[in-house]
Amino acid sequence: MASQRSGGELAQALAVCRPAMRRFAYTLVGPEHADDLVQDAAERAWRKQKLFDPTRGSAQAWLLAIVADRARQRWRRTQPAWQELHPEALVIPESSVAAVDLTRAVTCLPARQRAAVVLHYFVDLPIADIAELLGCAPGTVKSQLHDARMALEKALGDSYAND
Amino acid sequence: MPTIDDRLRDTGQAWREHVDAGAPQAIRPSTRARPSRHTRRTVLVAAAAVVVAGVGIPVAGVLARRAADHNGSSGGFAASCAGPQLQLAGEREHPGAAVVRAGQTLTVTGRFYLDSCQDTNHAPEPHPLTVGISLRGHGRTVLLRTVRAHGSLGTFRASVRIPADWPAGKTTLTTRTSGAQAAVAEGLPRQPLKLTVVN
Repeated sequence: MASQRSGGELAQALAVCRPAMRRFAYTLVGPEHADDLVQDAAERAWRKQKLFDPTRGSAQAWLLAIVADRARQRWRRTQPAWQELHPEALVIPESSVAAVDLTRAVTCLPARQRAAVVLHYFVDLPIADIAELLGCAPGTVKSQLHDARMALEKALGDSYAND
Repeated sequence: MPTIDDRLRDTGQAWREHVDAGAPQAIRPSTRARPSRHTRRTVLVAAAAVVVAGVGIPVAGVLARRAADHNGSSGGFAASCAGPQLQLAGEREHPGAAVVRAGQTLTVTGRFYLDSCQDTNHAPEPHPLTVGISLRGHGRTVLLRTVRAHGSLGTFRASVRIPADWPAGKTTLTTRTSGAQAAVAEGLPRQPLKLTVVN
């Protein structure tokens, strides 16, 4: 059942979630269009605020889902937006060779594992929000993260093995 | 020795610092700074006047391009937008030539029948178009029906009947769009639906 949210509550949620929205947008559309996508999503959220149902998930998950949906529509994709990662999304200027190797290995992961890693370690989202975005159970996200770590260890060599 | 988890956390932290450093201070006002309709019309009229006066096509071209840029619809198409797509209902993304019988009714679906390509920050919100579905082959084209696409993805689903007297052989199901900005969609790449008709 949809809840009635006041504009003040949404403004507060937007202020709190804006960093995560921008980081997520950055991974989807890159640095050039991230701010526009966040703005677009914020306008959409404002218009659709009555549709937010807190029993179905957090405000952050709802806002991130709107970001993903706006990205998908903007680029006319039918598949979920998280399946794509912008080529410049994980570029960190003046980073170490190890970090470059790691981000390159992350981009080579299967789409679902890559999305879980990017959303958890880079965008810094909680497991529950990632599960909602990817449309799966939290346990599945944990499993994807485990598999991704194994794959990264294998790809990067023994120096990254667990202690 | 750091674990892969540690490495990911450290790299993620560095990435967030880089990304957050470029963030604006606040969400910007919802109204985008766009030139008024009057301004755009004035520039377009000026460009047309230059052409009529024969002053020179290059000058008019620059003015027209500037007007188009302000309008958000330059007439060009970036590769990032998918063109209109037509397919048989239930078929996969890239089906082979389907075999149909003359007189048979087919259900076709379409998507991305929109009047603009929102691939730049200046592009307006796309609107669905009216789509004419035609059968082309053997030197003739027959309009089977016209439908209205809908939604933000410009989708439609329609039943069309292959004429009973349609000759056997290879033929194509094509679409044409109409509406205020039909020319935009017409310029986008598309792939007709290939059919083989049997009697």
